[in-house]
Amino acid sequence: MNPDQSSNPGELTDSDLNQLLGAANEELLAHIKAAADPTSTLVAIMANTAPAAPADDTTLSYNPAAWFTGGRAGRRDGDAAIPNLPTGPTAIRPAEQENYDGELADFYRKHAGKVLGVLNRQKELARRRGALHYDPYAIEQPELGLEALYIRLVPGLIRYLRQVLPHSGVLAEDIAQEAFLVLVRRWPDVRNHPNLRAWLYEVGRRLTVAALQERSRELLQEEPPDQEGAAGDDPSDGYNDSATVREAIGKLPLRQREAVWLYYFQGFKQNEIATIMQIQRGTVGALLFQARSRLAGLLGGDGG
Amino acid sequence: MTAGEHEPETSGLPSPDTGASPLIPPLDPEKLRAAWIDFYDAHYHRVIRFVMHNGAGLLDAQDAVQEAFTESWALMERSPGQWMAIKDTSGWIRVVALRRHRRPPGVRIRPLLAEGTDMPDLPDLGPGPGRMTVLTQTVLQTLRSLDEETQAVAAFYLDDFSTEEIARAMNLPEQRVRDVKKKAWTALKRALAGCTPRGGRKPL
Repeated sequence: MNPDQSSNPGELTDSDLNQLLGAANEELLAHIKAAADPTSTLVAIMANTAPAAPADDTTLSYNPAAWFTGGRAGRRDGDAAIPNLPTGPTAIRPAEQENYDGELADFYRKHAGKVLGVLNRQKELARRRGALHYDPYAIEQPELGLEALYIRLVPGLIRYLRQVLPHSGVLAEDIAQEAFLVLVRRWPDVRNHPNLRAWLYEVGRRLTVAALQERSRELLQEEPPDQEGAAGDDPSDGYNDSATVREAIGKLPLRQREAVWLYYFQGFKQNEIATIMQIQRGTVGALLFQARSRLAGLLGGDGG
Repeated sequence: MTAGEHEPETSGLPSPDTGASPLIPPLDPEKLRAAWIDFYDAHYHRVIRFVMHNGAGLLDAQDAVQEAFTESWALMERSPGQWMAIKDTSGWIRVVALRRHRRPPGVRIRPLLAEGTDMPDLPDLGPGPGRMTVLTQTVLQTLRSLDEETQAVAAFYLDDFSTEEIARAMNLPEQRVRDVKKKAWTALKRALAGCTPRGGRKPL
């Protein structure tokens, strides 16, 4: 029998049925796409089944695969999408881990789709070039490496700059963006830098000094003191149990405040701080000693 | 159904019998992950539709599909050799998702109904089921009225799988697949008589 013929004149032919099923199929798929977000599911899947972060992750050459899969092994709760912290020279001190986790989780949720978008763009470009495969994790693809670096480095830089510029959180963010743009422009030169994080902080500090020299008076006078507001936006809120400590740190001279922030809050080593602040390593130790002594006086402790 | 909708193997995963691409070293974890993301992108929504064709509501289908992809990701991470040995990943992921959907919920997570409470609603079609045309809803309802085997075979056909592929995925003889398809198509023809492709019904 001809497949397009039906035994009953009122019945659908195979061709009609296929047409109807095709239309229904398409509509259902569109309905599903409108309702189901594959990105969040992908992130949850990859984080839930992720192995532990590799122990030899000692550089900041960024690898989104590790980023996506760097969750704590065995965690199955709703927070499993929080990636693990890097280990090695850039490791964050344990006391800061919880705070850093929260911040990273926020950025993770915000930017995961963006990173996936970059993956897709890279894939598309590779296909257009006629490549048989693409490697979305290759550091040779600067767009992806920079995107991921931004997510990892800039939040901390903003927090640091907010300490340097306590009355101008907006300016701190602008300078952090500007510093990252410098990194983008100089990417071919600095991509293999042994400590990219310290390099970026150094750039941020220089830009801050330049900004203060050129236009700080006007800017800072225009900007109302927004320390409370900035602190409210800062994920590091809650890191110190006492607002007194924060207030006391705020009373330190600028260089001491910088050194304290970089050492105790950002986890830099003294030689890294020396690079960032363009001073001798011994000076860093001295600044920290002076800061501790002054904080002890302010807080009523013994300075240890 | 749309011709060519079922893309045979977009995952890029070389199967043992076809041989690996010379540019993709076998068992390279990063390449495997990249290929898995391709696979996920290509199939995620379609596998949800497949599970819905098997009687699931949208949310249940999403859960089942997430579990299936989680299993595939875990398999690929822990035993990449086993993952690469799967010849038809498209069929495999559908079968796994379907099993996840049909798996009994178990005593611990089975919702308890107190006396006098209403029975749960029928599977939810997701947000705004009213926006779907009568045609699509009729197809889903008709498929729900069929037995599980027929549902699965029909759902595979609706995803443009061939009889041979369905037989392999479901571990059935090809003739059995053809017979079951005939049953499903007869029911669909009966239910859809009078429907127009735009979703309405022909005037009586």
